[in-house]
Amino acid sequence: MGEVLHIKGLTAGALTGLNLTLTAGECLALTGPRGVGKSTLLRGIAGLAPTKAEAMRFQARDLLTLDAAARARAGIALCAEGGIFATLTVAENLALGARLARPGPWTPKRVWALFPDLRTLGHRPAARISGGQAQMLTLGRALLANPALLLVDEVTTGLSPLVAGQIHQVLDVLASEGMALIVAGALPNGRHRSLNLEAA
Amino acid sequence: MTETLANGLLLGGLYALFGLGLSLCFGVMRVAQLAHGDLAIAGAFAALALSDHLPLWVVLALVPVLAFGLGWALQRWLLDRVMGDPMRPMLVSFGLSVVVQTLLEQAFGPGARGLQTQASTAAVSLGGLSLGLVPLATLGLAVGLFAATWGLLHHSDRGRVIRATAENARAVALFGADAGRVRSWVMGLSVALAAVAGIALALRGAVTPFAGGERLLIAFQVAVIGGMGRLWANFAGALALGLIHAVSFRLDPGAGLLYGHLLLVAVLLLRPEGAPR
Repeated sequence: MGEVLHIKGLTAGALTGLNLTLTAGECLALTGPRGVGKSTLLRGIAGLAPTKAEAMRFQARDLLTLDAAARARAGIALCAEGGIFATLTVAENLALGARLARPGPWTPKRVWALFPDLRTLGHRPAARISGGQAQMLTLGRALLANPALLLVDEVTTGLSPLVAGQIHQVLDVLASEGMALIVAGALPNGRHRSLNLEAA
Repeated sequence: MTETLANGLLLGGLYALFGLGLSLCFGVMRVAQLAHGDLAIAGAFAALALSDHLPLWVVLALVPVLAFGLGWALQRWLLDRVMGDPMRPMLVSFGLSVVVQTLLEQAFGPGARGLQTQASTAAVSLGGLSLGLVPLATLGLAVGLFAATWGLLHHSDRGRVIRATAENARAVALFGADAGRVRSWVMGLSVALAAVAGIALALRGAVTPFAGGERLLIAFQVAVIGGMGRLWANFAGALALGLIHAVSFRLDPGAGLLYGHLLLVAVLLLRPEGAPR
């Protein structure tokens, strides 16, 4: 499996001189106390937070020359807590993810099979779904783009252990299918490696 | 009195056209675009100037397209540079309104001019009432454009992206969209709709280069009474405003637009959430 992400000497927010390499099918868990820069790093890779770096490559493309929209089109997806559009319906939020729809295994049918709530609640404004459903929506929406790199920011915060466990299982499946993942927050036992940003 | 009410509804159709573009612009960009009325009048004068050389139907199709381009460029190269704090684009649009008005006066003189055609004075008999063809067509056009705009916003990919941009302009980049382009497109549409409203005004009467301020006031009342960005409520608000103006002109001609302003005050007192947040 090839290299998906390569970062050298990255400075963003509180982070300085961070180096990171990620290959396809690999899952990296970012750990460290609140405020250490986990979200900033993910937003920086997605292009939403200002970053400086000596080198930043995604699948051999130079990320430093791409804005957030171009990074999304290239195959980087960010799902973050609170990232849903509350004034749009559930189905419309999903349709935004499907705009990019790169070739890949994730179709609306597969997302609905994974999260049946997203189908039954399709016409409901996203402002009126539960926290757990909102997390499923951000994840399902990101998957519809079939990203090569999925950045997951705290999507299990505040969820019941059952739902959180379900989402962690999904993340395992994604990595086993060859997606590269970076997850902010510790993960339960699974095939992933951890990076403590406090020590990095 | 029936005829007064009917004419009030038709007047409301014209008001709705003025409010639509402004409501769209504010709904997406949260910017009070103070040049809306003057750009509408500029659209009317552009149609007047072009109608000397081109058939009317060409003018009616061409001016909104030109206005779209003007609005697009305006957002891209002027307003987008000062976005962020809502005060700054508002002040820029105020400056623009003065510039447009002055340019119109320089180019066309201060006098009133109308876009007269054979249709201008034509009337249609409807259930015993004699109604003007142009006002009827204006109301029909308003219904059509409100429906089209609603359909665009709620049943197209572009519309979804526009509504998502209105809620969180930064986050739409995650779905491959460029919020700056979305804003330019919406402003293009807003100015094109303003031009359509201005042409409708010139077709039913006369306009002067100074008519923009009064038209902006009408557009604001329509947008505020229904709630900014809430299209069908805006449409209902426009009809209510047209009815009130028509009835008050008949019963209390000296009061001018007073009763329309009172409607706005009443709405703001009773339902402040209808006002811009």
